[in-house]
Amino acid sequence: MEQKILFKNFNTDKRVYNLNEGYWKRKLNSKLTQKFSSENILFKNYDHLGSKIYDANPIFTYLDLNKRKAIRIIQDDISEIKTEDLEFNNINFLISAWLDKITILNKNEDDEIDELVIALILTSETVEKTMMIITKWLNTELTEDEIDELINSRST
Amino acid sequence: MNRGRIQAQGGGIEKSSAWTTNNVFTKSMGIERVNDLDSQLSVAERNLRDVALDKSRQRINSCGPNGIPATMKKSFYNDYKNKKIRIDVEVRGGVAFINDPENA
Repeated sequence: MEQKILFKNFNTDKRVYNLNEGYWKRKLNSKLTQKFSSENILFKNYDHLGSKIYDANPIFTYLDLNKRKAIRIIQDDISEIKTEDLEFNNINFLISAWLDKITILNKNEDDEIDELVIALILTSETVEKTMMIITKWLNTELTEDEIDELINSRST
Repeated sequence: MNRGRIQAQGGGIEKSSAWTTNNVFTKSMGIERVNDLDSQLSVAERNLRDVALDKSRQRINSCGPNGIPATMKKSFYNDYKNKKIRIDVEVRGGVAFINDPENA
């Protein structure tokens, strides 16, 4: 069964992209340990002249220096996926997450921070999974296997 | 200092091609790093990442003329069901992927 894709035209319509970006900020603001502001953006998806890059890779970033954790959400565009590769009934096609490290400049020194990366096709189900993973990860330590279990758990 | 790396991750591998330079780091230099990483991969590892490598090259070539500032990290994958097997493009310091002089 094909799921409803939210903000489907984000990759072709800048207005939709900006609404999509705002959607993530609103959704996550209540879950984040620090209120979302310019202080805790991990990095902006901008070029060197300050022009925004509308590729949703990433569409949302967050940095909590106290917890030493960062979040990066990548949103895939289904129009770039071959029709024969679309598997809307496969949760691992719709959402995937992994742990990595990202090096940031902190007080003029390299600082390696734990990074949670979530790559998804935006549906109500993947939003729900994302919120669950982020909430748990910010409050406990999760392994990649535990994150996979959360992804593959039945939605409530 | 301009610093960064192109990295193949997931599926039990972690291979990379990095740069650290006081000189400008151009698009063609970025493509060279992707090609260097490509050459480090076994046939099997490359088969799982060939599209991701091409997406990385396209992303570097489509940057604005003045490049991308640190910090920036982008991930590309072949298989949407197995996104952990990926190529990461990471700008860790300074600026990367500015236009080559002949294109400036």
